[in-house]
Amino acid sequence: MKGNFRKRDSSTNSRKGGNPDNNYANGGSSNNQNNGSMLYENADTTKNFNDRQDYLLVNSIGSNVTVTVTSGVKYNGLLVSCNLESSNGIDVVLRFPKVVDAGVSNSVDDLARTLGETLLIHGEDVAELELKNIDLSLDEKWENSKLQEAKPSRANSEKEKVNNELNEGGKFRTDVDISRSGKEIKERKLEKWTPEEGTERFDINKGQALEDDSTAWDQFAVNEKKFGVKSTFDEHLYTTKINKDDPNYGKRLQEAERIAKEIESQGPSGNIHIAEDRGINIDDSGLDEEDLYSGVDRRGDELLAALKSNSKPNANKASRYVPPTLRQQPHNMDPAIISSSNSTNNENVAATTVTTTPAEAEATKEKASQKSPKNKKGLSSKEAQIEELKKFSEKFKVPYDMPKDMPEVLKRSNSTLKSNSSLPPKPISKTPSAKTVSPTAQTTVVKSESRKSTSNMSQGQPSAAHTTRSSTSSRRRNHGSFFGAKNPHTNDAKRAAFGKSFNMFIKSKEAHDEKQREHDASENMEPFFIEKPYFTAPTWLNTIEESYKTFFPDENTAIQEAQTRFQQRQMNSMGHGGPGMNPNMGMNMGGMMGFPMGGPSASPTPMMNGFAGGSMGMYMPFQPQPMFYHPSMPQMMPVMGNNGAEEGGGNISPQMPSGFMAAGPGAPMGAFGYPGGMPFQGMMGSGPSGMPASGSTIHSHGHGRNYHQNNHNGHRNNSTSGHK
Amino acid sequence: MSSTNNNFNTNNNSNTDLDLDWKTALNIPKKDTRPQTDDVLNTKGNTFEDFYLKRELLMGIFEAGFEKPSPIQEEAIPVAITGRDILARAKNGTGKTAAFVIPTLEKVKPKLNKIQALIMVPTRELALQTSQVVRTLGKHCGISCMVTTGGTNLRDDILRLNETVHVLVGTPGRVLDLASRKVADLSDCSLFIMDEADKMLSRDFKTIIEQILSFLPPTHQSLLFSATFPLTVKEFMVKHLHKPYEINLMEELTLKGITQYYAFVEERQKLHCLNTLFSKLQINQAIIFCNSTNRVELLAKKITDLGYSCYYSHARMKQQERNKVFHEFRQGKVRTLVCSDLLTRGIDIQAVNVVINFDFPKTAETYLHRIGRSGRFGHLGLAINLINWNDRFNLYKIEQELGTEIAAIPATIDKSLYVAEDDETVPVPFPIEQQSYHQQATPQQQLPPQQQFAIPPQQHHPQFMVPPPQHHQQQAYPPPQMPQQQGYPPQQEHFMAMPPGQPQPQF
Repeated sequence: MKGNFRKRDSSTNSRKGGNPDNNYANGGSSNNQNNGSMLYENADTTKNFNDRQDYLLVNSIGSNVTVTVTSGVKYNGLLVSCNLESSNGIDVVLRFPKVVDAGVSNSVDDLARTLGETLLIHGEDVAELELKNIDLSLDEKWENSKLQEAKPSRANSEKEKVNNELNEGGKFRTDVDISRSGKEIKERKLEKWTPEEGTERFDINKGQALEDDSTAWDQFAVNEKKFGVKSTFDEHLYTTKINKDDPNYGKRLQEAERIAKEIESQGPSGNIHIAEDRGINIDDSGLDEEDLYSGVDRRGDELLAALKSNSKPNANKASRYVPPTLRQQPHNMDPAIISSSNSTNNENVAATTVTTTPAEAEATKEKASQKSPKNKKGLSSKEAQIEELKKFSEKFKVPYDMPKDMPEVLKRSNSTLKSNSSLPPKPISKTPSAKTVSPTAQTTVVKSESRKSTSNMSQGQPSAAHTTRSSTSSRRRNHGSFFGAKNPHTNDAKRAAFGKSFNMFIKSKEAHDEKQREHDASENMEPFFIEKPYFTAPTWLNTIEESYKTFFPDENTAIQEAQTRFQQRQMNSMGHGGPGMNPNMGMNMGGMMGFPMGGPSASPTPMMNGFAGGSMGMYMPFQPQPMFYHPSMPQMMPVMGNNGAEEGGGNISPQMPSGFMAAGPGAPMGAFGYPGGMPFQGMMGSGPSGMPASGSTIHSHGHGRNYHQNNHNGHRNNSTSGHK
Repeated sequence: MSSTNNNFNTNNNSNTDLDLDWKTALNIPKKDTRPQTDDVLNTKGNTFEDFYLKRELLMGIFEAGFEKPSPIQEEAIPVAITGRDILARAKNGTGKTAAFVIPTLEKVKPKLNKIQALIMVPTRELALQTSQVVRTLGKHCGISCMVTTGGTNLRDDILRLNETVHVLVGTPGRVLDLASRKVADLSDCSLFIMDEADKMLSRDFKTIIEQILSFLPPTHQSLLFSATFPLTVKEFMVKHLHKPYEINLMEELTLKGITQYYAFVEERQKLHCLNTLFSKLQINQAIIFCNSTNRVELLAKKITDLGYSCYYSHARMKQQERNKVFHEFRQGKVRTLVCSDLLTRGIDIQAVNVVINFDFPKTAETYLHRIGRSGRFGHLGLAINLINWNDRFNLYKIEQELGTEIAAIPATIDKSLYVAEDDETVPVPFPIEQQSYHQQATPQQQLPPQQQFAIPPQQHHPQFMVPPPQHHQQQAYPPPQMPQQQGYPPQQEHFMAMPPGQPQPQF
């Protein structure tokens, strides 16, 4: 292979922290290769190219290379070493060089005579370096050979092996590390076990299932009666004796009693094993005994696990997260357990999914194996997704009606999977149906979601009749409509209550109304508070604390921005004439709703602080009636936020008093003096010195996604001048 | 090491007359003649005497039937005695317990009346078993070993701690409660041991363990042992271990002596399949695992209905009952044990030659530990998995994680794969106990436990005399060639280390 040399710019790294713009320019110029087609590169790209080149060079050390020097002479030899740090090009050292091509002037023999055992070619002389047959699998090979060495070494000498281990730097090997050297295990067709005809006839209809008996039984009594087994356990075979002859025994007993009571009266302390040893029965229904005593919880992250500590560790799909609400779903539990705890009817459904004729089994096997890679790993997550999507589809209301031709399309799509792709991603979520093609998922759906998947159930029933075709037919599903012909039946009243009870705006309004009623008209100026719904701030990028200064442009751009703002103001006032402040109001509220507790202050009640700091507290001195956010506000928020300031004016809401922000006592009029119509980013863009304290506080409470977006939009607009 | 030397020399000098024949005076049990695999035979050839252990300890070791150290013992014992931290992994049933018990007994000073070693295990049954190994190996050392686990009378344990306790074996919850109330004084406990360390360091136990560690002296030695480490324990190593000596004797995960099969069945066929297995296999003792406590009880009842003696155990039972079941099954009183994953780890019953996964487990480490209940100490065993349609992906996953392929169960299984020619030498934990049953003389509670081991070797297998004859026919498994006894001798930690034909260690 051939490579181009690029002079390594040693200053690349040091420039990393600098202004990206500068970096951009310098990165391009750092290429000393005057290749016309060379693209401008930034530092990262350069570094990546250099890394690759280094990798190739390192891997080709010891192999045959051909070097062309600037005089046109080509040398062939073993690459011994090369100097990557050379100031111009790559210095190359060849061992046993041969002249391949003498170039224009010299004869091969003359040149060959001058060659010694080693040839050093300076970087500036190297015109081309040809690396041939680089074996890039070398790393693997080395590891493999290492492994193979390790194997016989045990037989040869224990010591050597121990040394190897120590030399490997105490590399800790997990189970998978150890088994990896073994052969690859493929999925394969499992051979069905068939009861032998000739052997003892086992009564299929009597006493063969595990679930038909729920009466408790005394194993000791039964075994003694039937088999003469007598139990003879004595704890002193295992532990020490209590010295009851001790003179102080009575006193000690009392003391022990006291301590024991103390310990046992403690709570479960949140740890199931402590609780267990204290003899407290806490609800461990989410944990089976494998989780408790045998399996190692694979959810590695401590913090996440702590958050999930109350829920069942899903050791099965180790690293995958199953939402807490789904952990108790049957599909996350053991199928065997389900079948024994469910009714026999359900078990038959499950059992008959195992086809009985070999041919059929073959077919299903193939189907299964087609999906296998995904199924195997992501079974539970897939099902979790299905659940999520189902839940979402229940809740999700499309703001517009379904086109009239849609039902037809959906019906048609039932027959083929392909027609799915033509469907727009509309209310009927097709993902679940596509996913449930997996037989396993399908059966669990039958079991757990019988209420919702009525059509599914009706197809599942024949399979209970032990027909061999049933399992395939039940697998062939209505891909178009997950819920079949019937829409999911949901409890509308409940949902409505849900929507209301958890809507903080509605709730706040109710609370406020009530208070108002109590205090009568005389006190109707009472401030309006919105309670903060939850505490923990998500650690997304935009909730990380930043200095307010980072939101202000430096002086150079400030002037630019001012000009842009001027344009914007004009456009705003042209377009909507009216209150330019309203869009900003909306965006602020959007920020609050998305991240109610965000904000740089990180105080436990940032919103309240924000308002109070703004000396307003949602209290409207110029508007006698308190302000409410219309319940539809949440839905509007994203729209407004996304569209940014330019369009914001179009969303004027009648409930929003005009000039609210601007009229506030502490509202900044802006360092650049565009009162009234000044758009949001204008306020933010004002210079550090020009921002009144109260103004910044007001902004801090709205410090959410939208805020950032606007801010960035502003920058982008300013720098590119591409605003409309 | 030097103190060990002195100790040994002192013994040599003071007991010169006994020196020649102290070994001949030992009650060495009958040799276990079953074939063994490289998992326990591939050693450097050291003997226990090479470790310069104190005479009393050596006596306990030999009387327990140990002859030669297994590979893990060979690696771990000398390093542990020097006082270094150890993180060791070795396969199931290759002698890990003795690998940490022997150095423990060597290092504990009988005259110091303090808890000097703390052994943490995940389950109560394993605590009992570990304690029994400590007591067996250390019976001449004058070391007292106490078990403290949940489910037992807390007052009793507090009272016990008034007496001398040198080695404390327990489950973390109870130990933490006792240590935090200063009932168990761990201030001189310089040896901290975790068996099944991967489980002990899994999240549910780890917080308890770290709290317990705060009661230990700041410089203590830690020994961590397990057969599986599905996750790295690097974090714990960095935080709590000092230059740990890592021992890994595993180039593969599964035991060489165990043959694994699957039977692909419908859920409702499982019992039928199990019945077929019972009738076709030559089962010495069998453990059957189910995935829920409810199924454990139901299946055990079915098995007794089918005419086989069977106990069951799971965590929702009373501890007294659990202990009873555990004890009797180890003694070989019943042939079959149905249990949950409570008994998946560490339980050592030498006579078990068949493990059946009636329900397939979720994780690879569970699978590995389950099948490791058979084929103890390099012996042969069988693992049979009943797989239903829903289990099949889990089967592949576990096969992949373990790097082993499980074959379909053949129509006939070669007996040489799991049946020993001579079962009579398989040791049991408490030989004398059974003798006393046989005599029906002494109530157990009055027997001083330490004396129970001092019995002549020829009385070692009285369990063959135990069962009342009228029950024999009901009890026996179908193969006619099976002896008609009620149970088969299980055993303690690999008390029969010697492969057949191997010469006695030289002295």
